[in-house]
Amino acid sequence: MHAEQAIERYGPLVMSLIWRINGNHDETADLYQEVFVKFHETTSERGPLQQPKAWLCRTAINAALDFNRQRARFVPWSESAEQPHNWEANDVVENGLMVEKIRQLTVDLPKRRREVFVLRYFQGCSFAQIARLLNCSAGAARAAAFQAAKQIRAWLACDCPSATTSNPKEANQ
Amino acid sequence: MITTEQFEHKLIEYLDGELSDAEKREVEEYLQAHPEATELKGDFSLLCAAGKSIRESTFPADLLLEANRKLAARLADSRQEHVAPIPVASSNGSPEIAPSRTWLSNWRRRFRPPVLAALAALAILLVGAVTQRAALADIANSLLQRIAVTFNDEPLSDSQQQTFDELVEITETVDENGDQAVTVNFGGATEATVDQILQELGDEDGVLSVVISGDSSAVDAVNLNLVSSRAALDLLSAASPDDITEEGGVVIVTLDSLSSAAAKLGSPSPTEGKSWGDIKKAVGSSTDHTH
Repeated sequence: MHAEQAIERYGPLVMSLIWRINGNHDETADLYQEVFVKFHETTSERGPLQQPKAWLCRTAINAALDFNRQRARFVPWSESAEQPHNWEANDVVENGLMVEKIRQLTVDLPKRRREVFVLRYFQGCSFAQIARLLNCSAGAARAAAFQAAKQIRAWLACDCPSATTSNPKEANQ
Repeated sequence: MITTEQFEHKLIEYLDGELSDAEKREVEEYLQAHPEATELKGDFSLLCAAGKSIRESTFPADLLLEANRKLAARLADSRQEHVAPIPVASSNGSPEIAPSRTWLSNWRRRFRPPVLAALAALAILLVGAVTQRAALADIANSLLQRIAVTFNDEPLSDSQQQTFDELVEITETVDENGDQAVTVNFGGATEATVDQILQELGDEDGVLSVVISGDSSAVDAVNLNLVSSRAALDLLSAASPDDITEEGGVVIVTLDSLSSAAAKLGSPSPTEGKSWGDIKKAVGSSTDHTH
C-alpha cells in the first residue's frame, strides 16, 4: 500500500487518534504528517507492510503520547490541573479537568497498556478490534485495559501528575 | 459465580453496556457478593465517562484537509529527490489539460450557458499529464471518484440529479501511464442540447457546474506536478472560446489562438512550428509571473 492509499483510507482514523490524544490543532497536524512520512519511509525501505492499519494506529498513538510526554517536561502542570481532584461527574463532562488529566497520565503507562487504553477509551474500539490491531488475544487486551485503568485510577486518587511522578509503580500500589 | 479475574476482565465492557444479559447478570452477582468492588466500579464508570467525552471530540474538518495538503507536498518532494521527473510529452500533439484548481475554476467559468451551448453534445476530454505518473495514479484514481455537480451553486435535488444522470454522461479513467481523463458528454445518448438540459433542470439561464470536490490535498498533489499543464490551462482560459475546436473527443486550440492568449497573459508567445511540448515549456517557465 502506497502512502497516498494509506492517507486516503486511514487518514481520518490516524487524525482522530492523534487529535484525541493531543487535542492541539497545530501539533496534531504536525504529528499526523510525521506518521505518514514515517509510513512512506518505512514502506519505501522495507516494502509493503502486512498490517498497515495496525502499524499506523500504533505509530500514531506512540508518536502522540511521546510528544505529550516531551511537552510535559517543558510545560508546567497547568494551574487548573493542580487543583485538588474531584470525583464528580461534572468534572468529566463540564470542565474537562479529568479528561485533561487522563490525557497526561496516559503517557506514563507501559507501552502496551497505553496502546490498549487509548484504543479502548479514546477511540472506542472493541477488544476484538484491539486484539487485531495489536496482534494479541482479546483476553490480553481486556487484561491490559483493566490494568491501565487501574493504574490511571491510582494516579488520579493520589492526585499525582504523571510528569512529576518519580516512580509510577509506587503510585500504583 | 465468576472469579475476580473474570470480573476485572468484564468490568469495562459491563460499564460500556457491551455484555450480553447473561454476562451482565454474572457481573452484578459478583458485585452483590463483593461490596468492596463497588468502589472500583464507581471509579471505572467515571473513567468510562471521561473516555466517552474524549471520543465525542472530533477534529476540525479543515484540519485533515490542511494536513493532507502539506503532506502531499512533502511526499511529492520526497519522491522528486529519488525519482527523475518524467518529461511531459504529448502523444498526439493535442493540448494536454489536467484537473487542477486553476482548471476547475477556469472550467466553471467557461461552462456558463453561452459556452455550454457552444460545446453542447461534445465529448470533452481532459487529459492530465502527470509528471510522476505512477506515483500519482492512485491519487488520480481516488480524485476522479469525487465529481460534484451543482446547479446555480446548489447541490442537485433528487429530481435534478435524475435528470442530470439521464442527460449527461461523465466518465473518469486513469490509463496505465497515470494520465487521468474526465469525459463530459453533455446530452449523452439523448443528444439533448445544453439549453434543453438547463431547462430540464429548472432554469434555462442557470449555471451548471461539474467539479471535482472533496479531498483538496489530492487535487493539490496533482497540481504540484502539473506546472506545465497549468500554464496550458491558463492559456486555454485566455483563448477565445470560438477558437476551441473538438476532434475525436479532444478539445483542441490552434497555435494562433494560443499565441494570442499567451500575449494576453504577457508571457512569451509560442511561435508556429513549435511542438506543444515546446510551447508548454516556454509558457511553464513564466507561470509564476502570470499568477
